[in-house]
Amino acid sequence: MSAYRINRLLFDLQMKPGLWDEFQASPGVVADRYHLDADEARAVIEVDATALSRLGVQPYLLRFYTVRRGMSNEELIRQIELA
Amino acid sequence: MAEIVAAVACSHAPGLATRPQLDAAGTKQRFYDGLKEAGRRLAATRPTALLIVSNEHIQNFFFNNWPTFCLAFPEEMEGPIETWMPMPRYHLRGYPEFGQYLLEAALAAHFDLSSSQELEPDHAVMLPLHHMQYGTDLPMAILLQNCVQPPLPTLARCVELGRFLAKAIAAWPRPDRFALVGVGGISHWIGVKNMGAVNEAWDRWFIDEICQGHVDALARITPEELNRDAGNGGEEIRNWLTVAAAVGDHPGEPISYEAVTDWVVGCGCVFWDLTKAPREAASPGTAATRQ
Repeated sequence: MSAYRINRLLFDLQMKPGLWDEFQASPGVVADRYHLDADEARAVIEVDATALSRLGVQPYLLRFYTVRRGMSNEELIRQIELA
Repeated sequence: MAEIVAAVACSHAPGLATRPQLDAAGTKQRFYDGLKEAGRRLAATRPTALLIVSNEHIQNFFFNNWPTFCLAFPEEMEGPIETWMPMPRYHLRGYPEFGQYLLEAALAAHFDLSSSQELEPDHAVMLPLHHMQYGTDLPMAILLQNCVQPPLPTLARCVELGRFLAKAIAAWPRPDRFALVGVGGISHWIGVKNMGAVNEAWDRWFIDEICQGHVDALARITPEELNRDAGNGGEEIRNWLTVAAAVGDHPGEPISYEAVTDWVVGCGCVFWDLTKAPREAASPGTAATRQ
């Protein structure tokens, strides 16, 4: 299963004006628009770095997203170790 | 007619901006000082233009159209693209005439580069320039090499590209004095298992080897070895290899190496002074990496 759609969402969350706020307000709506399946949507919305790693999310996009969501390096490292 | 007068290769860890709190051991301060020293040595060679060799981190470009090599030569640029990064913003002058020439020369030499005429340089370009306190007012073009999304160009190809850059600069008809700035590395693991590790022994070995000009031997490092020893972040050594290959037969001067674990990056900085003859450039006391 390609991680293109999740990667695309994470890229757009960085670069597309307004999307971050829209995602905070209506995460399910945005996840649907990016055609994420239930597992992918949950992993992104819950900032589950273990699941995102397993789903093959691009490591740099993963790192950016978790930083933006306030996750420490230590926590990210811990969650990736579990993947 | 133009020449390369100097080169720098240095790390660009985001922590330079996001985690500036100094450690008691002085690790970070020494690296900040090292970048400033690189800037001083660069300034002393009086460049008139910069050619930066860097890599994108998936901000200007995405995988709908992802270049292996992209030569960016806008008329002007503003960076960093990470507007959230706690560092000053810079307005940069491009060098579109040189970029256009370089692209034509590349295609003629069978290097099929992509190109860009609009770019907001990221932390990788901006942090070294900012901390060297030099270069942000010089006209510049930026060569971007894919170092983050496999499959990647081979190390050997990046060396070949570096050698091409030297020839192309020599044939550029304006009397420019180019400084090359290669950024990234050294060992680091980002968003993958082993994140947080720094391979100091490997990094110091790499700096020694590149200062001695062993670019072809370094280019024979296998993908498995590089990933194992330097991490996915270590793929950025391509930018160091390209610059070192362009510099050719001049010894590198290691300025700084610090294993900055708080930044999760092994941070190095090397300088080449091409205004000196090779045998004058090597002197005792520049081997800062020897323990």
